[in-house]
Amino acid sequence: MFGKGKSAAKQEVRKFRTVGIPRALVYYLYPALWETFLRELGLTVVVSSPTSRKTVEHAGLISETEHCLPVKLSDAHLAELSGKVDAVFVPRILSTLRGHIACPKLGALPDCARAQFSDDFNVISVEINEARIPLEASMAELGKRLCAKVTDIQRAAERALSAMRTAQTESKPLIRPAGALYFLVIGHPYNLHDAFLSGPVFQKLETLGVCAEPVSFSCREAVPEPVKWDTCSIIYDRLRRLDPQEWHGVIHLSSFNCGCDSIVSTLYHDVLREKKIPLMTLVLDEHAGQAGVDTRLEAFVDSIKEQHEHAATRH
Amino acid sequence: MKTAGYLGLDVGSISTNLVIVDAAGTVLHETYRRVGGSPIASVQSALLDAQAVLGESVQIAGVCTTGSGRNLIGAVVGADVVKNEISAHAHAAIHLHPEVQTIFEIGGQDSKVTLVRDGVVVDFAMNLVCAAGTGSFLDSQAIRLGITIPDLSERAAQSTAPTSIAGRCTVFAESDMIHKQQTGHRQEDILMGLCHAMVRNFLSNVCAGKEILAPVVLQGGVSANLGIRRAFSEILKIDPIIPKHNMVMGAYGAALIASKAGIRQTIFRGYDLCLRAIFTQSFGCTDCPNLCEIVEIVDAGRLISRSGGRCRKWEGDTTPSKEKIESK
Repeated sequence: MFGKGKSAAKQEVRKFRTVGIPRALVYYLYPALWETFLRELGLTVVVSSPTSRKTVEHAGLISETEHCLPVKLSDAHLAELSGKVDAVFVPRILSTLRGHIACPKLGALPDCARAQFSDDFNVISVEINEARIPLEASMAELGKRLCAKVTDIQRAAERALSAMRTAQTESKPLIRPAGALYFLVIGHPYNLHDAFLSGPVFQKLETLGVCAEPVSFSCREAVPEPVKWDTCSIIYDRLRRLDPQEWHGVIHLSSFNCGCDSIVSTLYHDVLREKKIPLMTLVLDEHAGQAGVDTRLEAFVDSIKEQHEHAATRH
Repeated sequence: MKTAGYLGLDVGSISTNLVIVDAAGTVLHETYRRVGGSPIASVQSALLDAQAVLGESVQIAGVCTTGSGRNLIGAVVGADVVKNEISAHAHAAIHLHPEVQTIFEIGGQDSKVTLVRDGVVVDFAMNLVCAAGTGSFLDSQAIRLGITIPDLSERAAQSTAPTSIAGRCTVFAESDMIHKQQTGHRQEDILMGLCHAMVRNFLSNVCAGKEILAPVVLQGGVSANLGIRRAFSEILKIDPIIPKHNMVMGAYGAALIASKAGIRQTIFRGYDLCLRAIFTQSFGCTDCPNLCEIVEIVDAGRLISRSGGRCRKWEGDTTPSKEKIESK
């Protein structure tokens, strides 16, 4: 990888037929975007299979122990692509939102992937830094690196952006049955939309008769103060605008070891305490059993129902 | 005329507790026993005891199970209500002490804080994967020292100069305790130091960010420990209330919940279940890469329940034909 001339790298790039995308981090930060873009450029795209217990176990074996669960899972998803593709797309993510920065771990991903998987596949990368570079420019750069024609890149980028918009608006707000509890579920998109991690929580809430909606990241604007981290800032912005009349509770799905969450969770608590909307944080890690999650969710829902009944009998 | 009895079963990691109340919530019978290796066997023997004591005078009219074994035992005994242990414990504490604002519940592997305002649970927290600061650790230390749990409790309470023990982690606490004993500290002082460390650990981890207001109720198996009670008083400067039935509050709460649930016809499977061979077996589902373990409950040769699995598709499915899948 190191010391290769620009033209040599280009020639190598040209040969790629199949490109892999790990079903982790970037896959959830930009749903459908990169997949569609690469496919529209004429490449065969292989996305690693959905996270399963096997992925979690494999992540534990090959990943650095100090990483958070989503980064560990990303390693396992990369490993799964080994032997299936010529190259894997791992962007350097510095920011996904104007005025904000991404978790610093995401900026090191291509280097980590090259260090760990240099024998398995080539790593195609591009810098995503929406604080400075528009997303379209990053896509154009990637297209150029893949030696695509300018007109093809433009068309692919348009289709990719539209696919992302569709994917982000797919989960429309649920219809409110009268008297039902309505929860917002917050967390980084790669925790919230990885069905292996969040599925049991949504399933349990459903059995408890709660309508739960994951926070949307389709909004590309958020006030940069006081939270500098992109996804956290979108969440904080949403919490500040949350109407206590419409929302009965918030569940925060955090991952063990997450540096950003450890700082912002206090802010989430403070803003919701003022609004008197109960918040519960569930910490995801590879050891957590379903039992603890069930018990906490049941007790949380019980407590909210009782508070409502109590308030009703008083009036 | 038979009295209607409501059965509460709290099946935790260390103990199985049983309480039977009448329709007014008065306790007719209570037992606390160690689970040992089998929660089902411990429930069977607790039920036999209850039957022997109460005889034919009480008719079970409703059952509620709670604790980490609540779903398993709920299926075994036929529970009308299955309730999480946080709600069950709070229910009992609020029933006995309506003015309570904070509930500490320390059990075998769990420790919890529940905040109550105006008789309603408003917030709670539970320890994470680590069992530091719970009953299991006191158990293992008592075994190491060759003393019983009641001994540990009394000796700690007699301490005049508690030693400082590092309580952040039980592994470190143990090495620290051994260090203190080797440097000549009295056992009472070390034990009281341990109680202080456990309570500090509980307050700084589980209760972090929670507003602890009096009256405080302390319950769960560990609330029997005099050293722990003393440590709470000394550190919090609030004397915790030890409720009547402090050891079995989860089961008591469950029984009260059953009594108020408006059960018309209980699905309780009868005391007879104590006399039958009931066991569990499991198999690995290979339908997807999650390879979940599915647990089956067999009552006298008949499959009565299946559970486990992330997708929950096995839940409630008792068609014996599925057994063929396990041979795959």
